[in-house]
Amino acid sequence: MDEVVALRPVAEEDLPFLERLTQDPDAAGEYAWSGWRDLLRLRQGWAEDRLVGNDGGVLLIARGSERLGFVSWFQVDFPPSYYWSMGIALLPEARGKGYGTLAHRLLIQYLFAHTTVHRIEALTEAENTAEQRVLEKAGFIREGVMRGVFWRDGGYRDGALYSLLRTDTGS
Amino acid sequence: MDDDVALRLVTEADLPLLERLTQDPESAGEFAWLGWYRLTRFRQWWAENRLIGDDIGVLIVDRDGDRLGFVTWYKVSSTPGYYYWNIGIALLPEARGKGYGTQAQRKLAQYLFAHTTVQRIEASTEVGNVAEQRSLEKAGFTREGVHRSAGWRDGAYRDGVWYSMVRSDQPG
Repeated sequence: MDEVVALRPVAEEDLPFLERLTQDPDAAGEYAWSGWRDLLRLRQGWAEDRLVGNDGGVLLIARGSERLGFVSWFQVDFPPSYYWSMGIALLPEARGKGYGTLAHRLLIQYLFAHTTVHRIEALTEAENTAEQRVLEKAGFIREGVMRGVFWRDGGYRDGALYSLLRTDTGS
Repeated sequence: MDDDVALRLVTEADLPLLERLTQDPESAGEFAWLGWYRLTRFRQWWAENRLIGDDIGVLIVDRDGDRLGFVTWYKVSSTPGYYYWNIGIALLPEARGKGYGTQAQRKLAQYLFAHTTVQRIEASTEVGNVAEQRSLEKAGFTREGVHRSAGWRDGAYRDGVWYSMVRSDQPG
């Protein structure tokens, strides 16, 4: 009953699940739904490098054999250095149970353990208070609001930017 | 007083200026000196597209035929299908402190709002670069916040401060 939540690479059988989370408006949820585009991106990315590359990746959030969602990260270049920007998608029925906070913590640990980055950031919509609470519980520090960084559902949206530094985690 | 500088295309004769401002530590100045890398990039890009591309661009800041420096912009994408511009500036040491940077950044924002559909233009600078922050504020940008350890320079991670202008901020 009390299976451990873990991150793992995406298997071929997981692709329909990822596609549902990103291409079904009801599964994606209000803040993640911005229309259909690039529908083969996940399959093509999986075929290329199993969705884990040098400039970003996707990992499945699983609880035993149950798929809960996925986390992702991509490189933000700031020559001569770079940092990661991370995101998450959870099935509607998996939300509000602490899995999001756990998954963020697991990805942070993973990225600080296996890459040399100093900074990880997360940008979410200013109205997405649920995700902001998760980021705060996971230890992220709010840095500010960025105006007009998204277009969604017919309007420009502001973003709330959070960051976590390697030194914040006491490593 | 507000119309001293103009932005114009980079000519082949301007390339030494771009190289000096990015490859000579004295000219680059404290906040812009990041070491030597990709030394031929300006020449290569100029040969390819005259330094005006879909994702990135460079224009010379010119005052009555005098080259003062250059401005740049590059595309930032938060989600697929949506983007905005991040702008930057480099002025010769002798051209600083006279308001030319403010004018150049204001004119670049006007140019980008006029000729592209973006809603947002942002600019970032180091927390210690007070002169550039004042320049951005005078050019009409709004301070948004400090991004911790955003960049690496001279042996340490440095905090950056972000500014933005949205289309509706523009007068008229």
